[in-house]
Amino acid sequence: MVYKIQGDFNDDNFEKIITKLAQKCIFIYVIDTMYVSLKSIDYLDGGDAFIKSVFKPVKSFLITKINEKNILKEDFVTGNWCKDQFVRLEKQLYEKNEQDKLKATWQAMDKMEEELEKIKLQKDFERKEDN
Amino acid sequence: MADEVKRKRGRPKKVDTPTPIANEEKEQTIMSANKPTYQEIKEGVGTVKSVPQNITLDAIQARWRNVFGKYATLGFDSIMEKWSTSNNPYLSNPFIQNERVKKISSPALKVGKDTLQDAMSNPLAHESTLRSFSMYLYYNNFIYQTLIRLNRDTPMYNYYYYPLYDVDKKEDIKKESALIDKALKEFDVKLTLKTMASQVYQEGKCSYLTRLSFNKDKVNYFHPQKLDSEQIKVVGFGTKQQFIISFNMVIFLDPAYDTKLYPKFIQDTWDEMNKLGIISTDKKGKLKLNPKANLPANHMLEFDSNGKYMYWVRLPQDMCYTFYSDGSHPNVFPDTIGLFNDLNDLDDYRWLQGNLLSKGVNSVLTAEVPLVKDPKAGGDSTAISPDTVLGFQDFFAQNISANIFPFFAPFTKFDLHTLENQPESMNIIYSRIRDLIATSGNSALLPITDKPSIASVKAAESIQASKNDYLTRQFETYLNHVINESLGLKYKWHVSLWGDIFYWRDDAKMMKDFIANGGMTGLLPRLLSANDQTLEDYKGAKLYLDILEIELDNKNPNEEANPVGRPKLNDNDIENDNTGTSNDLGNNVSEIKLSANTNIRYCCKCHSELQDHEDILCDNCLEEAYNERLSDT
Repeated sequence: MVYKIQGDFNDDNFEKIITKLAQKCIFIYVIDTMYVSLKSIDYLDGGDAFIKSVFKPVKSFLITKINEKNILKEDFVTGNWCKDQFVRLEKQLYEKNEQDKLKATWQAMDKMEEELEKIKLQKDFERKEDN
Repeated sequence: MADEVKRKRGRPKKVDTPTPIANEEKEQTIMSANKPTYQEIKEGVGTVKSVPQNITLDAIQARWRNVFGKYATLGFDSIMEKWSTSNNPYLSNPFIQNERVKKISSPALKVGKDTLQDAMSNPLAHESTLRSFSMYLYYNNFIYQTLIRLNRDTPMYNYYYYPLYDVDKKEDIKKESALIDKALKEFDVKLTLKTMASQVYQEGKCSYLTRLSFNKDKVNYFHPQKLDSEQIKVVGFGTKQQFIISFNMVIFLDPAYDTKLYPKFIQDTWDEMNKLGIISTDKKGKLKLNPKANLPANHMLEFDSNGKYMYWVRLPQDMCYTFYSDGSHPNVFPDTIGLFNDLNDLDDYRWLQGNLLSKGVNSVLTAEVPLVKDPKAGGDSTAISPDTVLGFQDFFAQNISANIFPFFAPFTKFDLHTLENQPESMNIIYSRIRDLIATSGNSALLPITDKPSIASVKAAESIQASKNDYLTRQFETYLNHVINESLGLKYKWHVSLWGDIFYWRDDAKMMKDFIANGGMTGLLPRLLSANDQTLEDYKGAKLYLDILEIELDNKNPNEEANPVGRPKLNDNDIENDNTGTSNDLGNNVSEIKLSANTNIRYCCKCHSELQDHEDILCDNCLEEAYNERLSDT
């Protein structure tokens, strides 16, 4: 979710790279190192491929995924930035899962109401026929 | 439906009442235009609802309040029951659904020798065990699987159809022919019937529900749905088919099952059970069976040996078809149980062979443990303690893998006994398999030793084809029944299944001759079916050629100008062992004989036949000539 990209960014395409990167990511740049985080948890699938494709024009680069172990190696400022990104994305993930559960409940209630409506209609119909 | 519409004066129009089970989604004719029927209202209910983007917990709670208010008259039980079926996570859980799907066949189970003997001695009381063992063998024993698959692969299930009796209106026949063609193609006759045949031979008898849906001239689906083997029971003999079965409805208490996966009859039966209070919902929304409720006709409740309920409902003959490898008895186990003992023993032979191969026991070393000087009865008088003897024994056993191993021990009278003839362990399992296949009566079709005689192969082919035809005839009856009873056809049609891998070429050749020479054009559908075509296919293919403006040259390029002599027999047509031998050797054609005659050369001196490498003189004469020349010089 959060990537550390080290490489030689002195390239004419750098502006293009940043423009493309900004579509799905937010980032900070610290002396030949770029810290990139996904804008939204929706981009999680295919995130790795996207980052790789964006940095393809750069001659040589190294992508490291920041995780709970190697985040301690970062300095105070970048480490804090990465931590904030983790918290932000985790919150998004939690919200998404909650929303999925609520949606499933909502859909199940749709089905249930449909079935109950049928029974109700049948009973109403039978009552009218009797009258 | 008549109750639902407003009655009009006069005699009502004749309307064909649709078979309710056969076509599950057939559009029903509505006879009143003014008053909407319940059916119409019901159709309008199931519209697709969009799900809001952001749903909050409050919104869900508010909706629940609304539901309880709106449907309070239906009762809490109804709401909870519908909630439990609507919110069924098990239906989308792949692991649970996978378990459900696996239950379609009997569970594979290896049983011990004693259990198998018990089951074999009283097969009527051990149907389930025998089916399970059959499935175990099918998965684990390749020979058994091959024997079963032989029954699957022998029939060809070529099919064709034609109208019977008073056939007059062309347009109707065209329409109905196209509909039947679509239905049979949707059924995928060859593939489906082969799969079904495999299932029937695995378990002896299998029951299927017909799932058919069509609208006017379009067939949505038509396929058989197999019922779980453990959940059905043969309960009677029918008029439309051999057996009538009952189905265990208790499986729907299992959350992995849903009546929606089954035809309308099952759904209606389940609803009836709910209405009568046979099925109720507890406070937690869990379904349970009430044994004290009054049962309708054709329903039966019983306990199994584990104390579980089984609720049997008799299925209509029109809806559920039972196919059998042997219809002379109502027991549901495969015909192959006579082989079970032999197949079970096969593992023992394999173990024996494995042991003999790994250890190579062909020599035994014996020795005596020396006694003390004055041995006395009643006590241990050996000079070496039993523990030491065991220690030496283990030490020896650990080291005998080497070719020559010196063994020293304080024993006396060492003696090495060696078996003169080491058993040929490689042949043990092979011989056993050969015997087994011979026992099954398939030694001619699955030859594993010498080449069987052609006569025996021909006999075996005929027996096998006839054996499988028994099931083919059942499939034919089934298809005829469904086509004529459920598709709403005006005319009576007949679907015919034929062909087996051994003789279909002969049949096709004979039909071709009948049509070409005798003008029996009525055989054309059958001849086309031999080439995997129906009349509809043929019509389509012919039109296709016309559209592409392709014209065929009628001259047959393979036809010889003046064929001389008897034509060569096909491999399948050879019925004589001598012809078979000459065919194998390749000297049964005139060209070879002719070339052989012209190429024979003789020695100029002794007139014996020359070999390929010899020229003018044979080797013997050449050697003699060489020796003479040497002696002359």
